[in-house]
Amino acid sequence: MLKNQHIAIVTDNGVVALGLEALLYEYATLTGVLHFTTAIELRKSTQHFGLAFIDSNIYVASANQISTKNKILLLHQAPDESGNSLLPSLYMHCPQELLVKQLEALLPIFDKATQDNGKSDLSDREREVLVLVAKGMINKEIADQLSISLHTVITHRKNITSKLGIKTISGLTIYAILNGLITVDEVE
Amino acid sequence: MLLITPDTKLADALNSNYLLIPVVNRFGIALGFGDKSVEEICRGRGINVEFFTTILNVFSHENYFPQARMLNFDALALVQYLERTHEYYRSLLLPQLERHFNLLMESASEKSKEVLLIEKFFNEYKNELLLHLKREDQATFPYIKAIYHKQNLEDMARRYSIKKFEAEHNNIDEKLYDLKNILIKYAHNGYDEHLRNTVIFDLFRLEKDLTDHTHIENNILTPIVEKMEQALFGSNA
Repeated sequence: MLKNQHIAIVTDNGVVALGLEALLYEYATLTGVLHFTTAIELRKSTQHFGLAFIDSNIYVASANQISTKNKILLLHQAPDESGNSLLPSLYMHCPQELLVKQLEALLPIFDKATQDNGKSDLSDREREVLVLVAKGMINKEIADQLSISLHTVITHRKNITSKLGIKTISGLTIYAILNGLITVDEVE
Repeated sequence: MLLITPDTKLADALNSNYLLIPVVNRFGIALGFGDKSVEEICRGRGINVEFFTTILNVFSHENYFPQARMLNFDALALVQYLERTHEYYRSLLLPQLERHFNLLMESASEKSKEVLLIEKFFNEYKNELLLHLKREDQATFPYIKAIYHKQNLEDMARRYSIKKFEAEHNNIDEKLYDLKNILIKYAHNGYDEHLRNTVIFDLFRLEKDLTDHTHIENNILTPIVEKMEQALFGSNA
């Protein structure tokens, strides 16, 4: 989650900043967490952030200082400020396990890998590999047929499976037939 | 979800996770036990309380797996639990899934190529699962019971070992995973949507149950039996 990205924490409450940082390191593979006490400091930083946690009071007071390019998660001190925020929010006044639950639910929203999954269309090459898999060829035969390395075939197959959500050969064959990539006769 | 202890009222545990109901049934406990605690219910039926609560917690909490404690479980009790689980798949869950699946396929607007392909895939999966269960029921479990009771040890050691089980114990969840996605993402032959949901719910339940079942077989049953084998046959067993 949030692999190799920098995270910004913008709050004037040092305890909150340190606590959140500790939790984040426990639940996400981060490159670094930077602390800021005002929105202006955040704006002046040259670092690119995968995600910025911003104290809701600071956000409300200086929204015009904050670039809309930032992915923002608001930090709320008390639950009653929650009501009308359109931004994803973390409510901090709660026991640790609830905090963790909130983070676990929120962080995937910002995860690049999760977002990339949306692009599920197969590439032309992947479609070619899929057809040969459906026709019953083993990886070595596919590599020979397409003049690519065995390793590349395996990579294509992994991508096909993750894009389509189908793991078995007979499942892939059904997909190929249903989508008109091959006919029933070609399988038998 | 509730962490279950011997003091927990069983009804509270089931309210917190209704998927535990069939697990409880597998221990021979029928519903309608009022406000009795887990311990009271187990004591009345000769069920080991610790074993029972651990199985329920493993089922309810993804990261709960007290392996060290579970390795002290009685192999026979474990096998009996696993056999009942098989029986539950074979005589209840799978027939229910099949009934719903057949209705779903009949609801298709036409008996198209798609319907035929999905039916074939389903039957392949069903047979694979049944074969898997049968192999364990006919070879693995009888072997464990025999060495537990120290019967025909030489003969048993010649014919089977838990290593063989490990080698054969293949994944049976891939086709299940595919079937779910075929129904969720790709099948579009004018099916009854309510029936489709019903089948998908059945598949998720079966998948969840099988995952825990396999987890227990691989990480608890296998090491326990390995320990028994070592005590009986020495290290070269």
